[in-house]
Amino acid sequence: MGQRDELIDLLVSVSHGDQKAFERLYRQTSPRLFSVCLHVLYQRELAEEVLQEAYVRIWHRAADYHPGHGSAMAWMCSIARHRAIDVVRQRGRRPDGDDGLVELLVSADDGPMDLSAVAQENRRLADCMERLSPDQQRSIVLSFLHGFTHAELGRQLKRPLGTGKSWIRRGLESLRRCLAE
Amino acid sequence: MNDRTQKLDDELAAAYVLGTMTGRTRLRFERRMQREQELRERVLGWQRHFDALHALLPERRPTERVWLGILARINMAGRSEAEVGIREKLGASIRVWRTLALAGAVGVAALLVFQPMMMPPDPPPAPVEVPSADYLAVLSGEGGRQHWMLAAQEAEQRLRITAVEPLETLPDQDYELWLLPPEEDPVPRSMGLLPRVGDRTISLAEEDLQDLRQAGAFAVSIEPEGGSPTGAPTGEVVLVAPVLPF
Repeated sequence: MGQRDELIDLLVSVSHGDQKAFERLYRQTSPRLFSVCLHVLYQRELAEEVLQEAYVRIWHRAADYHPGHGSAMAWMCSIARHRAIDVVRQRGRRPDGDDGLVELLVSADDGPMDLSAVAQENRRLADCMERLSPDQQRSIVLSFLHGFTHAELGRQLKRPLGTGKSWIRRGLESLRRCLAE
Repeated sequence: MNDRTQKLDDELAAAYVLGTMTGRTRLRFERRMQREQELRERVLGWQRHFDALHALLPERRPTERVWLGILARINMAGRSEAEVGIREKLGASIRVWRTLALAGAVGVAALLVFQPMMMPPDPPPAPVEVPSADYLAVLSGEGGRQHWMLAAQEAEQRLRITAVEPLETLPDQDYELWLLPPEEDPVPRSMGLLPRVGDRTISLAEEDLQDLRQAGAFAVSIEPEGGSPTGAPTGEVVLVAPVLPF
């Protein structure tokens, strides 16, 4: 059985209140979800707090998952990411956060990104992302994974506010066209 | 709706999911989403796509206390339910226990063995320490089977741990007991190893009593023989029980 199916089975058991299945689900998925929280929050302790909330939510909402909404892993990551972004929006991002914790995925002068991991989850998205310029790819990925606003993105890429903004706008425009094909 | 508006809405939905849409624009967009089914579907579509980007992240392992905190919280949420369940199960026995305690007759283990209906008019002579517990926790597992029982006495600052039907261990393993303070993110404190037979009494620090008063919880983890080498749980957490004032 592939990891995908196994996660779905575990979610089904969790929706029936099976704590053992919940622990297996946690062991398999928490390193990824923790990384999701760290990349938004930059602080280990806060990220652990949010991770905990995310799993309490997953425990209570497992029955809401539907395979039509994407992979089980993606669904769970999305719960963690939303919770983390809510926290950042409420408290603001702490500039003195522990940057060392976060491996920035791409730096400002990288070439095209390696999207093979994305392709395993969503072939079509990866294909369409490949067609974007490296700048557009980076802007979209960084905004999504770090929860950056346009201003934060500009600071991160060391470019004026408008540059990051237009990379994103044009990137999303081509993505939309490509995904609609 | 014409093509141009559709295209615009689709790009707005993408910016919304990406998170680059902020402030008032975001609020306005969320209000529209509440009214417009089509907009919600666009958002969901982008969400499905962008969620795949999480696959780019390197994995990072959180510390074990996250899991313990989650366990404590999902068990707390069911706490009133669990409490009712445990009380119902034990209710009659607890009354018997209290009566017998007054009469100075029967120990903790006996309480769990006797069903009240089957109580003979004269309880048989049994181990005789008068249990006067202020707090109680029952470590029970699948099918409500009770494995260990914990009874704390405030005045004596003691915790009596009784093996009722202990879980089986492999030869090189032990079950270790942890006290979880009633906090959002509890740091578990070791209460030592659980007895395989009979009972064990340990003394409680003021800090422990305070956590019992404020409704903490107990947890049991599987550890290498002799207990956790790190001072924090290292193995699977197999049982959790809320502390009940008694």
